[in-house]
Amino acid sequence: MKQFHNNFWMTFSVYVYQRLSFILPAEFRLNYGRDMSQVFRDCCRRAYLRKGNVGVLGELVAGTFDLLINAVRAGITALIDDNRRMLVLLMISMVGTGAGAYAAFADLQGNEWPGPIFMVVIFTFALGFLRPSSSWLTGLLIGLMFPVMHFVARNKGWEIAHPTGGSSPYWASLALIPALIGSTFGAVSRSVLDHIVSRFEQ
Amino acid sequence: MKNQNTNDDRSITLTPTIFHILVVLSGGDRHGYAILREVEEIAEGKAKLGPTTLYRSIKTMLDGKLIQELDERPDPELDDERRRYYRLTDLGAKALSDEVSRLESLLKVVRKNSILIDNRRIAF
Repeated sequence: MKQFHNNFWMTFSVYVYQRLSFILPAEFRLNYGRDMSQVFRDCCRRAYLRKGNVGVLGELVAGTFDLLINAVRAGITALIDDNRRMLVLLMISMVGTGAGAYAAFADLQGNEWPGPIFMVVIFTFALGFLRPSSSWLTGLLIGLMFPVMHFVARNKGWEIAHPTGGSSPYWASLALIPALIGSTFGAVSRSVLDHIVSRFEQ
Repeated sequence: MKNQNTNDDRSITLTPTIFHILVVLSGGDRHGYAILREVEEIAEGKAKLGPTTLYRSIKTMLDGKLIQELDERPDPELDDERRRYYRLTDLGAKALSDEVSRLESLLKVVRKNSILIDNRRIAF
């Protein structure tokens, strides 16, 4: 049987692997670093018994590659987790702003007010239902896009086919009412649905 | 494949590595190196698991309550008492059972239909 207790390449490989493991997240390394080193040492022993020093060096290369790949994955996962909430909020804001701008533009172009208001209610209800925790934000954004678009239209001199014959950002602010009603109903509907589903699952 | 964890609203993606580890642990409690070796055995050398991948998967499974770490340590004369042993939980057994059922039904369809390999129809 081959002797591996004082084998230089084995000691070297385990030493390098332990040093390299410092690229892993600290919490993970503290919890599992010792176990990983022990398993790596066991793998090196087996490789030495099968292929000698070449096997040990092969194990070092494979172990290092495995470590690097996982360090990158752990880094990406941590980055995504940290920024996920911010990204979702940003996306919701963009969708809300876009939907609000579309409805407000329809309001500026059309002679009938129920159409744009219906759009506002549908958009805010849908976004509030999809993400109840941000319903207030989507309601505000969509509602506020009306006075903003009217303000822009008035200052840029856009042709407006509005029932009032002009553009009034103050009157357009009334769009906040259906917007907030729609988002609240969306959030409440989601809450009711979740409650019913959880009761059904029990 | 997602395993719905009803305890804390998190779901675990059943990766091939996690699936293999669940299969190994369905045979009884194992420590890390034993899991690694058995995964290689059941994969017939087609999959090699590194120590870092192994323990990252173990951490994911512990977080998802698919497995649990055992408090008791082995007899020092029989094994290294520093080794940590892991056991399949009920949730882990259910996840494994669900995945095996899913694979079985897929296999049935493949066997029934036969498949195309290199433009030749192969029947199983």
